[in-house]
Amino acid sequence: MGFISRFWLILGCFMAGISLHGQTFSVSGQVLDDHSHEPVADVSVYLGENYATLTDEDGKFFFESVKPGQYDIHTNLMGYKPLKQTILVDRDVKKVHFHLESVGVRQDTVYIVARDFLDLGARENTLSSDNVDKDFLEKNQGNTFSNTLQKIPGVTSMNTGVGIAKPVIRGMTFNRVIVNDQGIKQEGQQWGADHGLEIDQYGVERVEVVKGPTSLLYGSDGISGVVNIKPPVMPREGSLSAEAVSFYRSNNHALGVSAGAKGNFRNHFFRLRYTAQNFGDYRVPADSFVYNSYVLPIYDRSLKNTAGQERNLSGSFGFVREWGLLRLSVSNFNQHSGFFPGAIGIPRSYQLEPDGDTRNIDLPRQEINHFKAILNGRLLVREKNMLEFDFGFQDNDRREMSNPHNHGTGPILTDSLAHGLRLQTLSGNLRFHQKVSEHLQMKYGATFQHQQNARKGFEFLIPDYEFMQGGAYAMAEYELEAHMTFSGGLRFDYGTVTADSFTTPIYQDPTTIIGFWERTPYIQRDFKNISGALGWSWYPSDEFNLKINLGRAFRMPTAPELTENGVHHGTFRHERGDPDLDPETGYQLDIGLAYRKKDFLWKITPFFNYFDNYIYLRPSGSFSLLPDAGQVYQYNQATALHTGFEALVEYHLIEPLHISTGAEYVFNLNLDTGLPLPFTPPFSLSSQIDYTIEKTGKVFRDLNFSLEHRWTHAQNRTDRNENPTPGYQLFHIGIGGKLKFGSQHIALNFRAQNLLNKQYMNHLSRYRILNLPEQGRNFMVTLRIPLEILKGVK
Amino acid sequence: MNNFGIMKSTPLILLALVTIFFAGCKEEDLEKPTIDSVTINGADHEIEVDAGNAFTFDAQFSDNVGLKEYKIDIHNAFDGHGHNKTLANTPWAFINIFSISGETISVSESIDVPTGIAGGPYHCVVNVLDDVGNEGDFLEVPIIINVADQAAINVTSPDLSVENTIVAGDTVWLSGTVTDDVDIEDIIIRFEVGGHSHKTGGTSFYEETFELTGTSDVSWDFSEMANQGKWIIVPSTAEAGDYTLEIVVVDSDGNYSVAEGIFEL
Repeated sequence: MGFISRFWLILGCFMAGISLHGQTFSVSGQVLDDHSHEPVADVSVYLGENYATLTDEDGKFFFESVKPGQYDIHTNLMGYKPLKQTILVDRDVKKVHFHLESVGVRQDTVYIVARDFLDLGARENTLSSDNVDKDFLEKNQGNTFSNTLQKIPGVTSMNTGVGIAKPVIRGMTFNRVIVNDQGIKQEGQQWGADHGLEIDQYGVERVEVVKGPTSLLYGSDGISGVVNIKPPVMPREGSLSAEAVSFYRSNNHALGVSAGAKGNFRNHFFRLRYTAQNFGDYRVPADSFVYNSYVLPIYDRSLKNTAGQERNLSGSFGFVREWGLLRLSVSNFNQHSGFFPGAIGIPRSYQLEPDGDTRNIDLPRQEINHFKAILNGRLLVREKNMLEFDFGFQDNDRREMSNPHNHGTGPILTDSLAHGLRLQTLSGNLRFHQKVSEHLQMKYGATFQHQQNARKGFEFLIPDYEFMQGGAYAMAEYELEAHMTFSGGLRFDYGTVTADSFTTPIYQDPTTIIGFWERTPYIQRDFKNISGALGWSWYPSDEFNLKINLGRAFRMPTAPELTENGVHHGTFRHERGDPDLDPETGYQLDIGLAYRKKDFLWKITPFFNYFDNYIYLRPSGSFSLLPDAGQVYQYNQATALHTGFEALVEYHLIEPLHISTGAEYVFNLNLDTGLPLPFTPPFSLSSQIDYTIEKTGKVFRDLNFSLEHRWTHAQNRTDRNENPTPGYQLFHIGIGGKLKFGSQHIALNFRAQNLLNKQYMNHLSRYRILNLPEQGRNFMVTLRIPLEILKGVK
Repeated sequence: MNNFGIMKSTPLILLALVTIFFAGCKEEDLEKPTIDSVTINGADHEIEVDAGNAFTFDAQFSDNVGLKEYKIDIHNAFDGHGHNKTLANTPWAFINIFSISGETISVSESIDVPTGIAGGPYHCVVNVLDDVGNEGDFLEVPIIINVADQAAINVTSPDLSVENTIVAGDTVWLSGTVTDDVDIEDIIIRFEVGGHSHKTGGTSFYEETFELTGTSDVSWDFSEMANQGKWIIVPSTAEAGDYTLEIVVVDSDGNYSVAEGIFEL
């Protein structure tokens, strides 16, 4: 019984009788976690038969126009025993307390607003996850959302310069990492090394990173992990607030603003945000780089044409009714970013000479526009069940522009659109949570996705295609004696892809075509798969948690893996698809072990994956017939091992002092070639000392100092034709705090990255191929002004 | 308490270790093949060939296990000065892939340079692969292709056929003319750090483009440099070593003419 007490919730119900038309009152209250005393957001609260709502960002809920009478008030929180209590709504009742008892299995949406430690996530969930909130994201802010996530052990990012980055989990990226934005899988040609993630980091408030066997819940892709950008919780009832953020980064003279507003009026809530930033060419601590034994200059220690700009707009509107919640979110991400001219083809010194403008975005460059509309809904099926759905439409418009190279004998090209790829995706998810008994919870889900890709441009890489996939799963979670949870499930997936054939004409002279070269044939493929997973979480005491998961991984080949045939600037080599590829399947074992005392946490998360037919690019031993292209790399399948671990120790020596050290390591092996897989992040050890002084005075508040050291080992385990990368050590410092003027405060954050201006190369950078160093010292200043226009119900 | 987790995963971990062990025993050939030499008509620099003639390409390759293929990719080095319009002469591009085998091999190919192409500076890039797909470092040989109707660059002083001397802080005076039978469009004059090898980045201390805006400019005199105040001044901070003067003339037929001279400081 002692184990049970920590799952108790306190539901404090405060009644305020505000008589509007003589006969109705409002009822408000708050939900707190008994153990952490933190508010719990997103909890369904019912009052009688006709009133239902959700708790907001402060764990508070609010009912209005409640007719006087006697009511049952209760929460439907998956994982907690519902408790009914009768209250009398009239002027005389002030406060009612509830104690809810846990039954272990929680619903995904439950969210405790603040987390001090990066533990294994909710212990009743069998899968390990890292959960971070807005504070974490603000404190660790990098150049992009992906760079910010790098603070989480096991997460790195693949960069192309400064503005373009994609998340890497345990050394895997591209389609092997799923990014879900409010339940909808982000689809933006994520197979490309230089295709960044189209997410405005200023609009993200809470993130969950799930590692391990995720195929059961998330379907194809996501073999190494899933980044869930959770919907922001409901703002406080009756509140209206705005926020302005402006930032400057010295290294590339990045200047940006992000302004947002949110409010909630009688359970109708909205959010708006606009972010704009411009950045110049970034600077490196080097005067030259060596490419193929040619020493090439870096003028003014600045990488030409790496400037960029971003304009993002997003808004959401939703409401809560007695039957549930509906929320519509619409966003548009627009980014133009330059590409270092030496990175396309053999770098030539004439391309590298400064053009006199460090902020222009010349050729070559990318122009990306990502539009997204997401509809989320939750139907509050009384007491035992819950139905959730997400529908999404995405339109990804990617334009890669470069100087048309009038190679060969074809007509003279004048348009600079090399690759125009337009990917439109329609997706839908349905989830049904059913509480069968106090200990058994079932989860049924179905997913659907339809994609259409259209190409244009003077170069060919992938054809027009249509990809449709769907899946259905059932999962059971069983809690035993309040100290362990078992989970298990099965999933069926089906996918079908149809890709057009594509031929390029062969010219004898600019007007005479003498033949055609079929770059890719017409293909039609169907994929089927059955996957499953088993999980166990053991939490015999408050301090200890062990999670073990075993699952079958599954990923359908992507359209580029089946059809690609051309030189991709992202990798600068000729890549050729194989229309006969089978789905990538394998077995995954994931272990999470955490021990947490009040001021102390350690955790280790080893993983072991074995893949039957891992899809990879193998050097073919044959040259490409295309100009400026070297060898042809052919998509192939091999058995592969993928293993490693993350470890983390966090310690609050004294209350204001927080010390943490995290390590991550990935070992992989292509069992067919006996060589490592490419782009494997090297072992790294990251340590941080953080000192926070809360409430220091009338003017300065919440002062925070941090010193971070990251030691990255050399990566000498490389694939064929991949260069080893030397190790390096980096130091970063941060100082932040709030300045208070009466009731208004502004938050100021200062960070110095790469404090010692170390010259180093990132093994996962697109520019690594050119031996280009990474960003030098970078001072970042962020100013945040929150404005509380209406305080709302306190 | 963590015994349970380890017990459960023991068979898999053992399997992993065994597989890693066996995989580790394989001796993988990661050694790059090399291009030992490339010559065109017997020379490895200052190569000039005439359109309409053939030239001889000789090369030697080696690998520790077995060679597979080499690729010759000849394309213009007009350095982005190319005009994207249809001209009488278009730049030449040549790509050919040859199968080779053995640990070392010497090859000799005769390559025809067609007529009707744009004359000017070209790059001949040579790549090599071995049996398992190891890529050798490429080699790039600059070639100047002369065509019959390109502009003639006559520098009377200094004599570019010999190595001249320059002094830091001095002005380098060029005299002579550029003549053509069609309209001359651009004259680009560059003074670069380094000799012929081009292994350095080609930092230039002087680069000027003289655009001839008329429609029938058939001659140009180097005295224009002085007339426009764009004479070449060797920086007083210039370091001792070799420098290259490069004169490129672009005409309306799309031909490039190149004249080069080596200077020693």
